[in-house]
Amino acid sequence: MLGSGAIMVMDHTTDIPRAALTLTRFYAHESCGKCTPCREGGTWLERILSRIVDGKGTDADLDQLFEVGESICPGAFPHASSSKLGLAATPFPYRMNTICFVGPSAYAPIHSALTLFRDEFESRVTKRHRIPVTSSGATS
Amino acid sequence: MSTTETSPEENLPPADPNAVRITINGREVEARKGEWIIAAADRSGDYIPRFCYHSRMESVGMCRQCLVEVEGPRGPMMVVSCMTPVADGQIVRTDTPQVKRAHEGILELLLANHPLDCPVCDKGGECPLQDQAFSHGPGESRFIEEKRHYEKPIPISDIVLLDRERCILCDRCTRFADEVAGDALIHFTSRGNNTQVLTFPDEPFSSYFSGNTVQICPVGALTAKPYRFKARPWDLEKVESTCTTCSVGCRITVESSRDQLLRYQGVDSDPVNWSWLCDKGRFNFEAVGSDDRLAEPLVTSNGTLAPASWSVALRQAASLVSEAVAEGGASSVAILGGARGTNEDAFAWASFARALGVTLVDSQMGDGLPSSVFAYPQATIDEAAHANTVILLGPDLKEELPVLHLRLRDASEKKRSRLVELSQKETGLTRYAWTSTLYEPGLQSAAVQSLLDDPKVAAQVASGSVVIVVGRANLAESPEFTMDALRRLVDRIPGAKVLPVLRRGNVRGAMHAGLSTTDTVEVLRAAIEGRVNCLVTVGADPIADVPDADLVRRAMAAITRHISIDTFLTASNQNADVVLPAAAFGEKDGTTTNAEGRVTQLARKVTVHGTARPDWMIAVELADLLGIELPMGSVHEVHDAMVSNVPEFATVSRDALRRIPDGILVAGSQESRDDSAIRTPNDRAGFAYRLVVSRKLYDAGRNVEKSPSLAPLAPGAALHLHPLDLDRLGAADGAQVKVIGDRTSIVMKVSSDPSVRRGTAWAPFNQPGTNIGELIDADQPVNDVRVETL
Ligand code: SF4
Ligand code: SF4
Ligand code: SF4
Ligand code: FES
Repeated sequence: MLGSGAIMVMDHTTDIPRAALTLTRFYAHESCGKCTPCREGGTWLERILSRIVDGKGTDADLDQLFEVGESICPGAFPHASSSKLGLAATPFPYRMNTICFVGPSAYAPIHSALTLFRDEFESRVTKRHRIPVTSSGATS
Repeated sequence: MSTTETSPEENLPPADPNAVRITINGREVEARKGEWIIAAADRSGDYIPRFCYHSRMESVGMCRQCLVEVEGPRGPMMVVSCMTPVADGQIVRTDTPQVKRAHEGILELLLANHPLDCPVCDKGGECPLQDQAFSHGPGESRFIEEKRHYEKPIPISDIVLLDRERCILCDRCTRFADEVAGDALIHFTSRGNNTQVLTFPDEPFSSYFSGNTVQICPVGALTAKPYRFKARPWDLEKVESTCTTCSVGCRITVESSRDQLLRYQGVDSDPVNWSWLCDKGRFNFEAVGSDDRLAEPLVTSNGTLAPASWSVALRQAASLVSEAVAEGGASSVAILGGARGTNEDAFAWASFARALGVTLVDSQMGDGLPSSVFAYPQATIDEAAHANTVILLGPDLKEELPVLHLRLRDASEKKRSRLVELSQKETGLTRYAWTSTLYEPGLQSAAVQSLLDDPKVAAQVASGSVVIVVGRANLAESPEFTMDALRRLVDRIPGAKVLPVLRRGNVRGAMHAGLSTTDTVEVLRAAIEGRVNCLVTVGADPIADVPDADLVRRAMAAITRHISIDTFLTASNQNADVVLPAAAFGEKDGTTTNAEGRVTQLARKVTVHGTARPDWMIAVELADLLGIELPMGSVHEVHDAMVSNVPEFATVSRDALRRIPDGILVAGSQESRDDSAIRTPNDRAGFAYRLVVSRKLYDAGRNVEKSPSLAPLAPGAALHLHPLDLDRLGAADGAQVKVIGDRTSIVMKVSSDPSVRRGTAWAPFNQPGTNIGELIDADQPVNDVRVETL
């Protein structure tokens, strides 16, 4: 599950980092700008991730995504389980430093994509090339 | 047992029904119901970092810096302490690793787009962002992207500049403009990461209170021209004092560097200014440092004023006084002024007058109210701002006592008080008033009558406490009408209290100290009749300040000996025989008394300009040369003598004032009511307008004129007519017209102004340009003018 709670179906050909970027960009853009974590954090996440997607990211950037996220939503953050990774699900709710759910929603796709598909992000960093894709991600 | 002491338990105040106990970091803290956690923590000494929270404004919870953990049913919750109310038994932690991480995280985010301007930023050294980044921040930033860029800085008003790159969007300045000042001319634009503070297009943030936004901005985003790049905070020395620009008496810090005044900042005095200042009070320190200040005594020789030593000038002044006394007795000497100095200055001059037998003494310039206004039960500013009903029977407070305007606006906006306004022209408070009546000059008693006969108003007035704010609404009208209306109000409203709003900084102190035995208009009439052989003006400029221009001109021409004590050369003293340079605000110690009678301490911060001396010292020295010994060798001795001799000041010992920085109210006044009958204004001729003249905040007064940042803000002379009256006249807005009074006529600009009552013409007093005082005759109960197109 990604984003605000809407369910999106993507197959194995989907470029996960790019899909996460699309969603994060959407929420960063939706920020009203009132509170700091969302206004500054959302855009920061988007910019780090877009560098990674462009093949210009570093290992440190991957950790930095979690760090920025921690400043938006402190502590454990929900994600689905993964039998492949032997990972149990973390349930809702999450804690948040923001006024509303827009800020956390900018982080949610990154958090779950990076937790469940870290290898795809790492390959962007180490191999500096793109996984062939058929879809540019879930835009809506 | 011989002791009569009560046990400690019996001394305890009754239990406060609003008290709650909470625990902060393991310690029990007393708090009050409805209060935010951050306020309770401030008192308990557990500092929580913050940017948007301000104790005098509504919380918005925007910066998220003040996060704390509160114990909840499902474990600790992260909440913003500036918007979470205390609750009995609440357990708060501000020091856990989670809270620390949150504080670091928010600070890192705030700094992400923040420029690295500290070395060139005015705020550096006193910057909450810089300070809290050190105390609560992560140490270094991991933000490596390009930062946000804006043109920097852009002017948002005549005085204030905005650097949007440094802005952390805390909403303090915008909230202040909207919530406190009521001039919502700055606001947020755009959204998300592009959110910015801006003014509306082509509309500068023109507020009398703009300097407050600079003071409360938690970063260096807002700067004020008079202070920009003048000093680094660590070079500033400061003392606490009281603004004496007007009689609100706002508490301030006076700050200087290298012996130069550079800044005044508001101090949060609960009974008075709540930390706010008006721009005139905040920025007129520029005048103290003006190059035009008088640096040495001047004595007339061969018809022109030439520099002289103090001993020569004082001896010359003394011989002028003794010549006058020899010619016509002490009753032919007059002393005008003293309302702009300290209580000590006023008391020394009052003692001088008494010792010499001088009776022509007044500290107002024919523009105030008689001292019998103090004979009524007196109200404090705080009582006014908490009264059920506030009856406004005076000038536009926004123009004359700006921070009192803020306090009363707040009382109305927060639904504590209903404002019942009686005025001759709409004021800054009209739109906050519960009812507002525009009456014709001279008819305030009739207006009071019909107001109180209105059952709705009568019920409101009977529903609780009433404070009458009374002052001089119209300089072209005799004060007798206002005094009569006041009398009627007090007589018809049992328990009503009165807050007199006379304008000059220490006019009340001067009056209590004894500097008002007659009325300036009487002194000027006596001068014209040749009964004044010597005039001493103490920080007074009658030509600029007395409403009746002709009267003051003829009087000054008739006076053969004039001794002036002043900080500048003025229209009044440029032909004086002796001009003695006076120490200005910030250059002398002493005390002052505000409109409500609150005595507070003033403090010296910089050395006097040139050889200037405080007014009190000049009085003592002059007395000495005249063979009168005033036993006052220091400002402290003057103060002590004042405390023992003036009943109003009996409780304001130096010791007590040191202990209570908010000040001490003067004791009940010795004045008695004046119940004399009033004149009836004659009928207004068909094509005449009844004249209303009152002050604007910025005028041609010396303190504004000699402050480069303020001088351009004076609106200039103009006659304002209601748009329909202007139509009837057939004149265009802005045209030059001929304004004809009984004695003379003048040509001036006419302005269309819907805030003016029909049938009246309003003009601001003492503005650069044509002098409206030419049309004011102090002998008339009211003044009428006719207007002709050219
Ligand atoms: S606002 Fe504060 S942190 Fe920002 S540049 Fe100025 S001094 Fe530095
Ligand atoms: S300019 Fe200053 S006070 Fe105004 S929102 Fe920005 S940081 Fe806050
Ligand atoms: S309201 Fe009066 S006392 Fe207060 S800052 Fe302004 S001029 Fe000074
Ligand atoms: S101080 Fe509480 S959110 Fe800003």
